[in-house]
Amino acid sequence: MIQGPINIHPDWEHIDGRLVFSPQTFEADIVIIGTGAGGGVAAEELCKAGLSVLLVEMGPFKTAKDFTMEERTAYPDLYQEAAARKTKDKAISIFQGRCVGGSTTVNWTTSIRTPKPTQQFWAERFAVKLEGKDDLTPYFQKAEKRLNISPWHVPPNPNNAALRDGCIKLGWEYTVIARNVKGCANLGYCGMGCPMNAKQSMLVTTIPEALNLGATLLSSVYVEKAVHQHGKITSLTCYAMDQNHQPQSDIPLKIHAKQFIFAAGSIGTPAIMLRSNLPDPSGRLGKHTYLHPVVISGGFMKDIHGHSGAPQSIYSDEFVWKHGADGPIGYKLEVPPIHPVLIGSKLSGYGQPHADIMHRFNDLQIMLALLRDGFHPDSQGGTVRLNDYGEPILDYPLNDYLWNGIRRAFLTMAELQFASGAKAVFPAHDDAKQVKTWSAAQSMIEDLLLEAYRTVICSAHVMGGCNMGEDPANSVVNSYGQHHQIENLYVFDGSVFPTSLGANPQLSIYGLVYRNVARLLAG
Amino acid sequence: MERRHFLGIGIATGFSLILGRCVYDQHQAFPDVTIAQKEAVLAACVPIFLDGALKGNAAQKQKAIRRTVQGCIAFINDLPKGTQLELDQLFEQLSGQLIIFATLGQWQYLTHLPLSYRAKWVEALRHHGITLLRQAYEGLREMIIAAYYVHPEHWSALQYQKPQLGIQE
Repeated sequence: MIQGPINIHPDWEHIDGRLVFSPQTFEADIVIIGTGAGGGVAAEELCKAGLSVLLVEMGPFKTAKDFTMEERTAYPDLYQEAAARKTKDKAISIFQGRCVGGSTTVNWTTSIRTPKPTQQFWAERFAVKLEGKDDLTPYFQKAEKRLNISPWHVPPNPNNAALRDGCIKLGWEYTVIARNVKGCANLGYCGMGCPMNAKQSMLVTTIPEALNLGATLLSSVYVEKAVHQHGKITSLTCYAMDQNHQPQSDIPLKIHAKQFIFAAGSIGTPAIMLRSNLPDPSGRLGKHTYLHPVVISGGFMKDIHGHSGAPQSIYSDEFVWKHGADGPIGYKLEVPPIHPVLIGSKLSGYGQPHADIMHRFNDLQIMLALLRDGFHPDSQGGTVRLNDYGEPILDYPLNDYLWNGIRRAFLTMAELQFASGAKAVFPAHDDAKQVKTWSAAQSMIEDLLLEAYRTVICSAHVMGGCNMGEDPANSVVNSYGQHHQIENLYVFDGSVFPTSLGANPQLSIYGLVYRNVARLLAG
Repeated sequence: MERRHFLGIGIATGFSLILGRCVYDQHQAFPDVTIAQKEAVLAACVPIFLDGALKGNAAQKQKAIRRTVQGCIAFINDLPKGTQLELDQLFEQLSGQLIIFATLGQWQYLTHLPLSYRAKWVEALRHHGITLLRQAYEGLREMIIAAYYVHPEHWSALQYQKPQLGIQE
């Protein structure tokens, strides 16, 4: 029998914005905006230090009892824009959590330390402090211990096994993924919220502990802007959200604090700063936003059942750094969980051809390539801007540098799938056909017209937009997340990354925030 | 090039200017498009996008179409205001005759077109050189496919089912 879900404890100070019907004012030592990887870690550490902490989360407070393992509830409840967020030109789909626990509630548990070449690049180009006492290694270790992160030695599901087997046949590197789980039943529904609290997300670890220690949590509350003067933030202006996740401008909430931590993610954090007209002398606020753009290759193999089993347990870094950090774009190989909406909506086409693929659902093997953006002069990422409603829109241009990498990634994935026994392969591209041999795939992929809309592109890793660095001329915050111009503002999320990572981001955020919150507490 | 094709391109270019101005001019108020109009447009599109997926007799197919349309409407209500405005502007265009004229060269409403013409229209959107029409195709495609496969009633054809957990409270 599986242990039951942890419900919201009656002693916790939790206020659901959807049930707030009149203006209110709050006060705390420290306010944290966002409850994901950065906000969760910071909340627990600050509460343990005896500070009064108030957490503000845009999304609802859902727990395991709400996690029905159905996409129809998971996406509208737990994801930004019901999992349909797009870049400005609608060419890239973006998956981001919007709930207590943020993306850690819905991620696929993959936990990878920040790659050394990425750290070196940041140190060389942005003078980010990562050596000596600033070395992240002990902080990664602390996160790994706290969140039970360790390599997943249960045999991979067939979807992941195909990635591993192809790599073995081709002599390519592969790695068993470390996951943040405890008592995982290998269900495969991590992306819809873990129904048995096995995933050691912020939802079941740091946030409950912070609440046990006296933190206050406001869920379904939208932060409009920070009020600031003389280089300090004095308060936040917020609004309660309604049942459709819309801010209600007639129910303002005011929050006063001494210190402010922005941890709303790489679209949310720059958006609040832009709405607040915070100083931006470097001109980099909201800019250099990276996505690890993902392209997809489908294949047919017998009895994959890709919805069952740990979604990600194998990856390959064979092509991530092959041409150096700032050469032609590199890409990481992974697989996704295979659920009807997630995959059905991300495969090209419609009608009978699409239905024919869906009818072979359990024979579908899906490969992903995550492109490592931000290291080359032709890969400077996107820009977060505000529309007339103050909502953030990410404008992410697609260029030849990226398309070149996408073509190589399609070729690599097809080669890998045939090596692992695929009977047919089809890149997620409007003009692609199902091909039955590697040589046919090569000639088809070489001829594909790669452009927006024809090529399915998605992202689950938004990074950058408030990059860290020691020179205020080319960074928004310093190496410890402190804003260069606003002294009581810290940014503790993936928006501080000066480039993408070349790895799934949660452990990088945990490690960096453990280090930076210790620095904040040390004064 | 056939004269009709040439004419269509010219008209479509003008059309794109109209639609483009609408989509990116967010200062304007929400267009006056009713839920019934949106439902009618979606109901006209669903059989095309889900051809081969819709199963059963006519009544069962109609039920699945209705359920998919309702799913799309519910989905739109959860989106940010800016995205809702874009979609309302799109539905306003899809409820009129101009978009059919621009793509098929006929003054007609989408909802009045026979199934075969609606299929041609979707293909015209899919391969159109105008970005906004490609965006419309992708937006409709993803929304309709998601709204259909989100329902457990449609999983049996996929032989997909979620695990049954014995949870101890």
